[in-house]
Amino acid sequence: MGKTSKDKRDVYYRLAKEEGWRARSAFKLMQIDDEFKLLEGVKNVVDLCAAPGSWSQVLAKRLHKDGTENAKIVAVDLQAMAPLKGVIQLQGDITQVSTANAIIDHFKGESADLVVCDGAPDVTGLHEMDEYIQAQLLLAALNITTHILKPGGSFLAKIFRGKDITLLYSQLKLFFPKVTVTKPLSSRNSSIESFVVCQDYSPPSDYVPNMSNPLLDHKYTDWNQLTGSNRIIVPFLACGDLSAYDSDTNYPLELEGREPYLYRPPVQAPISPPYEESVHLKKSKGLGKCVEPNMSVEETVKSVEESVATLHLNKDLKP
Amino acid sequence: MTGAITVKNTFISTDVVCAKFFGSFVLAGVGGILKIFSLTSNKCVKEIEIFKGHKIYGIQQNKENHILIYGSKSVRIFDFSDSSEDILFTCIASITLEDWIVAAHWLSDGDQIALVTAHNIAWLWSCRNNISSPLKRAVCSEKCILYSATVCGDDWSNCVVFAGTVFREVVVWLPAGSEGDQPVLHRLEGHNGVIFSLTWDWQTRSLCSTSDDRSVRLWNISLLDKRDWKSSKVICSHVFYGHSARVWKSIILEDLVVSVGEDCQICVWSLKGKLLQTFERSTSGCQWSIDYSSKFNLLVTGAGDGSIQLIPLTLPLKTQAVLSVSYPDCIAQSTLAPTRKIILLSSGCIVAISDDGSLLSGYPGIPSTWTVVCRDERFANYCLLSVGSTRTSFSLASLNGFVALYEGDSSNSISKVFEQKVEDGKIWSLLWLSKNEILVCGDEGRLMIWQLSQREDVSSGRKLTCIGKFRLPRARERWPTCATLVTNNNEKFLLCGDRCGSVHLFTLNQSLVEEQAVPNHSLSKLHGKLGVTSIQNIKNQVISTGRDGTVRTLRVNQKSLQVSVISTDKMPMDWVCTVLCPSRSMEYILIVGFKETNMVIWSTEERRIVLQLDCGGGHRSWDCIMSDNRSLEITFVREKCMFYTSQDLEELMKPTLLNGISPRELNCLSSFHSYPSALLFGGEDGTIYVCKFSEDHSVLEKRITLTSHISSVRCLSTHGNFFFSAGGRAQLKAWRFELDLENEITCVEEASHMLKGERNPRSPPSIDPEMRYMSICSVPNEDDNSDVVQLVAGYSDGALRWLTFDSTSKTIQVNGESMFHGKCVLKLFAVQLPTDKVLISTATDGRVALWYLVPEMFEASNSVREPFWSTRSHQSGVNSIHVRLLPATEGTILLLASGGDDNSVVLTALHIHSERVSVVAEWSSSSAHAAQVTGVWLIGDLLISTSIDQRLTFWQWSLSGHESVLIKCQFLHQIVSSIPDIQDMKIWQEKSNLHICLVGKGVQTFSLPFNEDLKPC
Ligand SMILES: C[S@@+](CC[C@H](N)C(=O)[O-])C[C@H]1O[C@@H](n2cnc3c(N)ncnc32)[C@H](O)[C@@H]1O
Repeated sequence: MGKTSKDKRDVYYRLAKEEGWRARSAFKLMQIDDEFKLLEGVKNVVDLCAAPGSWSQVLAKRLHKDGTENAKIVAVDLQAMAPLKGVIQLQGDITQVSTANAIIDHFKGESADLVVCDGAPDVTGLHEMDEYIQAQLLLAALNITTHILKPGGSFLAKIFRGKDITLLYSQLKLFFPKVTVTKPLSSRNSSIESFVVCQDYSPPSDYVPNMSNPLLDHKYTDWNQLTGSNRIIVPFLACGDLSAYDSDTNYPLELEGREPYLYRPPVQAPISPPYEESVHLKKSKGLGKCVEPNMSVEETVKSVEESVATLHLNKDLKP
Repeated sequence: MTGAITVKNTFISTDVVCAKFFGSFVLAGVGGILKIFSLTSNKCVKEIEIFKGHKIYGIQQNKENHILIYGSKSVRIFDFSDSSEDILFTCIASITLEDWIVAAHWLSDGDQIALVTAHNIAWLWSCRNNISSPLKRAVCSEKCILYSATVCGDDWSNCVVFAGTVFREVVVWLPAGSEGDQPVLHRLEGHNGVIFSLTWDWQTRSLCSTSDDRSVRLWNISLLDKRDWKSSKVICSHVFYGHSARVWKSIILEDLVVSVGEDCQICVWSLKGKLLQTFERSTSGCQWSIDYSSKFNLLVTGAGDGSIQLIPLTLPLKTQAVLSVSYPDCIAQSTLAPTRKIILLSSGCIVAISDDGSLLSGYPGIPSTWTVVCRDERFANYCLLSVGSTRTSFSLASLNGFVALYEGDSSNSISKVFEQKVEDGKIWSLLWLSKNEILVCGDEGRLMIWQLSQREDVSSGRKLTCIGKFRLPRARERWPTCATLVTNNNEKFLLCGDRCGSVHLFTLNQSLVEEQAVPNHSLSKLHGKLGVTSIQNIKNQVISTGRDGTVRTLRVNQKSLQVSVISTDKMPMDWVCTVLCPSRSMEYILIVGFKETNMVIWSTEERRIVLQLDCGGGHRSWDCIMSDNRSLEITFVREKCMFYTSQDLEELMKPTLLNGISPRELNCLSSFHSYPSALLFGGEDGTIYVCKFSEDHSVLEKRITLTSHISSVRCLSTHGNFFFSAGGRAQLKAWRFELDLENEITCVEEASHMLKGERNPRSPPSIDPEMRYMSICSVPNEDDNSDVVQLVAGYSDGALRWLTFDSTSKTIQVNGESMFHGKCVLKLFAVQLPTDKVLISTATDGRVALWYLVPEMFEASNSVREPFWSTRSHQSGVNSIHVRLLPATEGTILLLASGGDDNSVVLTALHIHSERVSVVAEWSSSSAHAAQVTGVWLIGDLLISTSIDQRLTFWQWSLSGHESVLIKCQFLHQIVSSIPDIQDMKIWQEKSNLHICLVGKGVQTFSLPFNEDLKPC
């Protein structure tokens, strides 16, 4: 496959490179903001699950309008993220209490106007479980949010519209009178991903934010049944102007009204995957060999390469 | 349709995340249903619905035959008793938690259970009297999300929790501490990704972890006392790298670790970390679960395609473990020349020819039986040793045209039957066609079939008569490597394969013996350029194999005198060498090939390699036969020595307990009007599965898999006996579906088309090769037997294109297009109105459009086409449509149901009368589904919808009023399905039942009584 094939397949992937965004997700936030005006008047914002950082880029661009860093942007992710001007970065698991506390610490005496979370777990392919973990990411984000969001503030998060999504809806409805589910045009029609836009934060009057217990999702009840006509389903609103590109459509490389096409490398090199070592070993034909537990990647690869080399030697020695 | 609806689940196949041995049973979860298989009959003996809509993730038993089953947030406990008549499976407790269960463990009193949930919380429950609250709840000071955990200990006070986190650590803690959060005892660091599973083994005191980083780690725990965890020490003793994707689960056996993963592999490791064996189940997808029974020495796995497979735990055979065949000293001294070729006869004896022209025979393992049959200078240095298919006769052929035929009887006596010079020069190849016919190839591709006179003709002696002469086309290596005779309607054909990968067809015509006939038809490079290795006629099926790693089924058409490929199966081996068939029965065949230096045997029944033998590679001389007592006999020459082994097939192969369908998501399904129980499924894996339901719809048999698409199959459409499949990389294929007298299905690929031209990749890419077909439909036709089928296709570039498939010339042609939608097209539906044919199309922008299908569209590419009506009925993508026609006083009412990405189901009643359209009524609901609606169907007065939210909703619609029409649609019923990611739905009526089939990550069918007399629309 040619290097332009991904550009052909996915117009937003290509546009992201042309416009300097670290990921195509940037367009999702921009399209949602264009529809819901979530960034209007925002001073303090938290970007949860931010790596590689395109949402932070959008936040920085739209909030630091005249180059002044007059808005506080805190970005958090499990993965390390390349530095971004005007963005405070933290690395950690947002479901871990220590990470949550570190975020809250940044808002001593202040509150956030908006919390966004584009987190997605490492999907296993078992949808039910992936949806659960996704919901827990969202609830962890919500729990952090309840500590720092000012009344009336907004919360935007990625969800998987799957089997148990109504349980999340009923949960969110407790904190936000206005909950809408939306799907920007830059998110594929076929994808299970959507976003919840939760507005006008108004927690129950007796609610005390508590970090020591996780927020758990709801159970099916009579007013939110597993099946039947009483299920809590929030309104859906498609966003992205109809003239915007559609992520399922294949567009020609030469786009009308744009500069002539030029191949561009990705803005950000991909984050090193967890299976890097395994791939190295495969290349050096070391898969299936015994590996010492406490070696670094380089050492392991080297030792395997050596043992493979001796194997070859032995073979040659045979008559 | 009135009253309550009772819907019955009739069939389900989806990821099997848990399969466990339980005595002489296997218990497995298929969705929320528990299936119990007996290991004596290898059949499913009981099915119980345990959970509604969610999967079974784990099964644990205790000593009292109590079985704990958990999944999602629920646990249920059953009592198992097995009488001679029936298995009783009685629920004794059900518990629902507020968090996802990642581990469950029986404590030794047989009544208490310890659970761990996803927020790193441990629970103690008693299953007595269905207690409604936990006895204990313990929280770890490390609060985070877990993907996995395991608990060990016989009592709550000495329980240990091992918890697998997202941040790469295994956290070890003791739940039975003092008040408050429990501290972390150990943090096991080393993995580079999420921990997917943890397994504890008391015997070896080790913990095994599997991860996203594709590794398996073994941790040794030193304990001074079984209960004294506080002073324990942990070291990581070994790291196993062998999987090429994520590792889901592992089990620890006495001296082995077995792990399974996303790469379809089951890896067997020594405790020292050496990879001893891999079982690859490539067509079954992810291997989710693994268990072992020491009693049966069997593994059981559950896979992503929904299959459950038993696998005997065998290790690969090393050459050392194989019998080395040696000659007695007297022979060894006289025959110094190395052995060149060997074959096996049905009597079990080996025949060998050595470089000095000695022909030897004897039994493996009994040196005294070896004799030198003859030594013939003419066969020194060059000799073709070939054996007939009955494995009683064999032949030698020489450099200067001599052929010698031998026969072996049941005792080891070999006698020369006959000898004749048949060529002036070198014999390039000699192949047996039957008991008494051989095909000999001389110089320049000259082929002759020689027939040996029958034994009864003793008077005249035995002789060879030439009964056919042919010539192979000019080629680099111009001789056949394999050949077979095929009889079709009393006409006889010769099919042969050559070193260049081509297959040639010749007609056997008695009157033309004098002429050298050229092939009637050739399939050039059918098996790639490395050559065809075998071609056989097995129970009316011609099967060829090749060094391109494929097995193909061919068919000879006696009218057109052509060979066509019916199916192609890619094998997980470098070369495929031959096919073995157990005597007469065709229940399965074995495929023999080579992978690196290993000889591998693949079973079509289990769809996996059942035997691997390191024999140094396929270039050597080897032979392999299946003997009558169901054993496999293999012999080969390695480093000038002969080796032999006999393997019991029963020990190598075990039946599949449950068949799977597809390892990936299914995108679409379709069926034939004339044969509704056969279903076609198109999948993300680029395969079309042709399946058939059993009479009672409880078993779906996979009949044929069509694998020639180069990318995903997104849509299917049937038309008479033809069907069309299309999908990724702008590829479209036309197929013919045939049923023989025994209702056996065959599917023949008639045409394959890629928008930019399949054969000419250099033509200008006016059309993007990344483009996908999204939907295809054939235009209804009064005359189903017409030669030309009209098709409409919707594409991801926003176009609709009008195509024709000509079944005589087997070509597909694009006639014109419309860019009306401009956005990715999603669904098409064609319907015959009383006077017109109408097409309905939908796209990702929520638009629905109606078009008149006129014959001119399918002629020359010309004028621009526009829909006659369109509207935006959804906010975003319209994923499903269905139509019902209703009579009106004038014209027709078209009731259109649509389901969208925006959660909503819309009904639109359109009045169509002489080119005029008006919307007479509309109805919509977005409160029934919480996700994309991916299936809608109108049948009788029912509207049925389904969605990614895994709900199936039943509505009752009615139209009322005269002047102004009103649609009413009433919510009747909703059920939950166990199939994630539902992509398509199809509904059909058989007798007085309605059958509903949902496809996504798996297949599920439901049925409900349905009595209304239906007129097909
Ligand atoms: C889709 S990406 C976010 C893309 C980002 N919004 C952007 O525009 O560049 C999802 C991110 O979620 C992060 N993530 C997943 N689970 C997490 C967790 N438990 N804590 C923190 N980050 C997590 C992943 O590391 C990943 O970078």
